[in-house]
Amino acid sequence: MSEFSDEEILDLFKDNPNYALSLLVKKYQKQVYWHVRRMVIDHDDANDVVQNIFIKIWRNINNFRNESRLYTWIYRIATNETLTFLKQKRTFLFIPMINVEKELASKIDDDHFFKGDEIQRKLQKAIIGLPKKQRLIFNMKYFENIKYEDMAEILGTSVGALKASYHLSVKKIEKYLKEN
Amino acid sequence: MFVENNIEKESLNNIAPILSKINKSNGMHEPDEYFEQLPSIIQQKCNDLQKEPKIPSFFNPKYVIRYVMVVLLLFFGILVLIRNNNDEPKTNKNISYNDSSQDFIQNANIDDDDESLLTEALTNNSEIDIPSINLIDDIYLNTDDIINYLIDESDDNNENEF
Repeated sequence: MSEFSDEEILDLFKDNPNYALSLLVKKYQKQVYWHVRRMVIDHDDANDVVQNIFIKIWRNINNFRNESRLYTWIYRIATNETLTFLKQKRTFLFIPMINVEKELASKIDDDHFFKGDEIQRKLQKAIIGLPKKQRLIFNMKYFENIKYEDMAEILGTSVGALKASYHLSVKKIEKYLKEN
Repeated sequence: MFVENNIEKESLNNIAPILSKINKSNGMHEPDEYFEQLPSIIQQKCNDLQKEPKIPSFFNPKYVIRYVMVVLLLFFGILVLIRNNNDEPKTNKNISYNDSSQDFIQNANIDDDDESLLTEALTNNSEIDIPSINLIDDIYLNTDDIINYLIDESDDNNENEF
C-alpha cells in the first residue's frame, strides 16, 4: 500500500471521513501505540489509551489547523492522553506516585508480553524510576529518535531544557544499571 | 540527520557506556495481529459514537453529583427558611397570655400606644400581683372626668400663653 501524505489524508476527511480515519490509524498506530505503551507498560492500558487518542483525533480533526504538522499534533494528543491516564490512575486509586512506579515495575516482571532479556528488563525498571516527564523525554529520544525540535513542539518545552533533561536521565539510568 | 545521530551516539558512549551497549528494542511485544485489527476497532467505535444520541450536557452523568449537591442545598435551605418562618417574632397580635409575665414585660413587647392590651394582660394574668395600684379604675374614667380634664388643661395652656 502506498502511504498517503498527511495533506492527502486531511483532504480525504472532507469527502470520505471513514476512509481517511482508517488511513490515519494505519499510518500512525504503531508510533502512537509504542509511545503510550512505554509509558503505561501494560498492553490493556495502552490499548484503551490508544483507542481514546484516535477517537479524540477523529472528533477534533476539523479543528486541526495547519499551524503545526499533523504528526506533532497527534503526538501532542497522545502525550496528553497518556499523562492524563497516569494522573487519573494515581488519583483514582489514591496511591502516591512511588506506588504507581512499583506497580509498573511489577508489570514488567509479570507482563507476558515482555520478552526482553535481563538487561532490557533492568533498563525498563531504570526508566520507570525516572520522573514522569523525564521518562517521556528519554523514551522519545532514546527509543523513538525524535528530533529535539519536534519534541519541543510536542511538549511545549525549549530544546535546551529537553537536552538537559535527556542528559540527566541518561546519567541516572547508567547509575542504576551500574548499581544493579 | 545521520551526522547528528552519530554525534549523539558518540556522546551516549561517553556518558553512559553500559546503556549504549544495550539493544534498543524495549523487550515488550504487542499481541498477534493487534495492528491489523486496531483500525477496524477504532472505526467501529467512531461509528457507534456517531449513532449514539447526544445526551444534553445537563443530563451528563458526570454532573449528577453536582446536581444532587445543589438539590440538597436547596432542600435544606428551604427547610431552614420554613422553620424560621414558624418561629415568628412575638408581636402584640400573636403573643400568648400564657407566656411568662417576666418575658412579657422584660422584652417590652407591648406597644406603647395599645393601652387596652396592657390592661387586658394585667387583668388576665394572675401571676402579676400589683395590689397597691388600682390601674383599672384610673384608666376607665367616665366622659365627664375626661371633659373636665381637657378643659382644665386648656385653661392652663391659655394662662401660660399670656
